[in-house]
Amino acid sequence: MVVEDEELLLQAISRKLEKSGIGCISCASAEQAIDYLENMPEMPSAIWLDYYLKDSMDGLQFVQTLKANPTWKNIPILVVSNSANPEKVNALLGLGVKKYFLKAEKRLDDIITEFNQYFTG
Amino acid sequence: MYNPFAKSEKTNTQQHNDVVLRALDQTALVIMLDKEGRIIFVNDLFVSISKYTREELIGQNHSIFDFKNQNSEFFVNLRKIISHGDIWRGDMQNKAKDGTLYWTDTSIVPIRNTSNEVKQYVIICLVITGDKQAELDVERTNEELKKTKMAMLNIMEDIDQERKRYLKQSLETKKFAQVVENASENIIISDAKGTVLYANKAITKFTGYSHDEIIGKKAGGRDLWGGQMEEEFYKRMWHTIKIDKKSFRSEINNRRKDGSTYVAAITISPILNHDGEVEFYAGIGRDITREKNIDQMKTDFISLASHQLRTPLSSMKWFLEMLLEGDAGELDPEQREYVSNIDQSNERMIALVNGLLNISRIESGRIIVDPVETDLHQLIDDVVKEIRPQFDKKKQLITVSTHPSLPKVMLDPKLIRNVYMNFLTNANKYSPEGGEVSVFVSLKQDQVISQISDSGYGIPKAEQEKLFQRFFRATNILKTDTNGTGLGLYLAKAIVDSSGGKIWFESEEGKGATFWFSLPVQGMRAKKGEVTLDS
Repeated sequence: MVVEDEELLLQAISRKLEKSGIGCISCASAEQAIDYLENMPEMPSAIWLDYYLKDSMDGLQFVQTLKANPTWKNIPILVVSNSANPEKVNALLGLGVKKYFLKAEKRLDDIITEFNQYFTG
Repeated sequence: MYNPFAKSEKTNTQQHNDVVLRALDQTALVIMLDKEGRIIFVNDLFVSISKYTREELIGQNHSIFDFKNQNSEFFVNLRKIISHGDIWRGDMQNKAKDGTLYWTDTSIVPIRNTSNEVKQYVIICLVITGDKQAELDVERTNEELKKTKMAMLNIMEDIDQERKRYLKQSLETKKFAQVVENASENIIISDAKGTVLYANKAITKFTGYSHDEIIGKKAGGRDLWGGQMEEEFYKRMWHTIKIDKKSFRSEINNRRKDGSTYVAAITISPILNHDGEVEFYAGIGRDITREKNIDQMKTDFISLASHQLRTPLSSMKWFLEMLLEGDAGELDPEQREYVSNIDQSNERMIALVNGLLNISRIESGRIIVDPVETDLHQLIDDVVKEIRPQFDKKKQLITVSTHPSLPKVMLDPKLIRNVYMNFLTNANKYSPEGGEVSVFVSLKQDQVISQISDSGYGIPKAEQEKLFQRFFRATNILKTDTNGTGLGLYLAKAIVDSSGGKIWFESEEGKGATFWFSLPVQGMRAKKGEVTLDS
């Protein structure tokens, strides 16, 4: 599952994931993602999350919601964001986020490699 | 007795003349001088008035009469007249043998010979009576009085000038006082203990404290606008103005009477007396809250703009990556070249945005400085490990040597890592293939000195002073490498400066460059902030 409110970035990520053989649910907002999670028969293997989201719920609140839900709390989350305010990064990692990436510094390929390790199981 | 007026043959006219001459002899003093001024004749009356004997006079120069009261101009004038053969007439004061003075109405008649040359002088003097003397004395007294009056007038004039000068000066002082009183800057004068003696209008208006509330209180004390800074700040301030006796300049947070705070740029200067002791302190302050806010807005803008730029840059980065990976089908060589060029430009843009963000973080003072005990050798090794592939690509050799007993230093590894990374990236980029780069860390007194040398293109002498300026790139490397941002060294310097160290270099174009930077062994000061580099 990819949660990213920038249309073009969302496209780039989902296409690349599909090319790498990973099925992907694209969500343009945290609310949309929660809606999916509530109605999906199967949980996603991992969640790719943008930290800054335009809609009412931001990345931190989204992670908090997931971690508070017994069914969702074990889904690995990787945050890929535009900036890395140390306070926020620490808060997210404290909540159990697996990794934090800076978009502009990472190649898609590299992030997907990191992602891949959560699909082995 | 020889008498030139006496004639043996007496005609009628002669007889008359005789009478006249005798009468003259009875009433006037008659002296005759030769052309050199020697006395050749005196009549009896002269002998009796002058109290000299005839023998004492004959043959003497006329100066024996000592015309002491007459000035030289008098004589010049006299001589001028008689040398022309004219008769001179005037009042003259003479001195008798016993020293008594007497005035005479005097005529001096030059006598010419047949060839018209002056041969003799006949002087005829009528003794001036007591009245005339008194008159002359009055005249002289008047003359004296005139002189005294003139002198008095001169003194009066001097006094008047002095008075005018004083008035002008006091006006000048008044002018200065008015300027200070009405200046828009906050101006305060205190005694050597810091007690306020004077505060201008601006300070009362600006702080809200009345004139009476300020005067007599400790300048900038807690019961006025002060006390908003840390103890350390005030200690430093007093040390500068009291011990070093130098001006103290700083930005300071202060508080108005209504509790609102403001930022002021202040200068406090000690005013010393003749013995070099502090007599007063003069403080001048200006509210810079607005400037500070604008500065903050500028920094915020750069930060916001950079973040906003990152989204489209990331999008481009990732789509370009997919194109180059052949995710949308294989590119032919020309297409690959073009897309690759776009990708490089995009990467450069990302680097610029990152650089700008880092600079705005450093300049805004919001950066976190989090010193931990750092093993510099380890830190450099890590940087080298990361950058090694780029060195290998250009077949460049990199060697690192550190002082054997280099202590661990309290440093923010993230910040210092950035400095080494900048130097090594530059050394790699701006050295030709097969070049050599060395890192050498030494210990000198209380400083850790890092030296990074390369055998690269170097920096042209003429451009060296601009090297640490924002966006500066040397002309010689612009030709070989278009991918720099001109922000790396600026950032490195900003980090080193804010760590209490120094940064410097030596370079010759074509012969490489050596950079040094120092860090205090006691380490960096921790600082709370909001942001870190590269985040």
